Amino acid sequence: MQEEPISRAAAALEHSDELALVQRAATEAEAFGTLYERYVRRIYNYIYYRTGNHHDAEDLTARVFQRAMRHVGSFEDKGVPFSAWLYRIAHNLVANWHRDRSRRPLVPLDDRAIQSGGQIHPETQAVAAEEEALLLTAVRRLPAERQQLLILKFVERLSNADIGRIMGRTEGAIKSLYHRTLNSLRDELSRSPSSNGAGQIASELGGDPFVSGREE
Amino acid sequence: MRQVSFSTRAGWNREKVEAWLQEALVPVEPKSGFVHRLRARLVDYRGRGVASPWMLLALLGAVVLFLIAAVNAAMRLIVALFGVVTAIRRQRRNRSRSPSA
Repeated sequence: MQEEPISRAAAALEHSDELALVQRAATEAEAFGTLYERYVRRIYNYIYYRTGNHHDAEDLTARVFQRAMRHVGSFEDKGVPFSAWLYRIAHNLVANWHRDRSRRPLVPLDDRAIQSGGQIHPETQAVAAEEEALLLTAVRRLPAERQQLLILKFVERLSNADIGRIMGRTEGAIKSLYHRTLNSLRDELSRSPSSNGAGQIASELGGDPFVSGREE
Repeated sequence: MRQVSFSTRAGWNREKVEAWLQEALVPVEPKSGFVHRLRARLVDYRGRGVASPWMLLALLGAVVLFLIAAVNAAMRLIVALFGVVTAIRRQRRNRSRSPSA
């Protein structure tokens, strides 16, 4: 019973420490460097799973931190962590990227899907890549905030409470959104044919397992 | 190897979807070269290089020195011009006083 107040106090302390660091980052490059080291991998992962390729993930991650550096002085403490602010910048840039890309469609090559597994049989490897493409296609058909929820939960391994703080929702709302997300994913996967589902969905979407998701 | 195979997809349930997501959505590591280069661009170059107070002070000092040098040169030029004009006038005056004139 006492664990919850303790964890809340720890979270509050962490938040105030981070706030002090953010205030220093407005004038001190080294403080901004500390924030950069803390969040660069998380932002990169978020963008990578939203865009589907490393090249664009690098480009957009660089833009997120350049923008953050320019505007860190105007960051206001509204009780949400600094990471929420960074994710918001990343979300906006990814949305712009999807908009630009829909005007001139490209077919990026996802390097995670073609990683060689050494002793794994090529056919098994191909099936695994196809399965992964199917799932990632289904994930990327979800609205942006559901994609963000899944990335924070599975890639970042954050708790519902932490996800709620980043996304500006209550823990209960996150649980509910997660439940609905899994249901819609399950429906989507059940609808696709079992034999060549991945291929069919991929071809439907122009051969790209990382086709742009809907923006909410 | 993947634990949950696509071939077992019949009768999807939440647990199966979750297990699949756990396998597919794994952290990816950005290239270390990219992380270091971006840090250098943001922190070392832009941070210390331009916005540092010492850099601004040095820039201000350079501007002040340049202005002093420019004013100095302008003053010397004006003095030199006055000298030339005075010399010409004196020459004319001497010519008008000479008996041959």
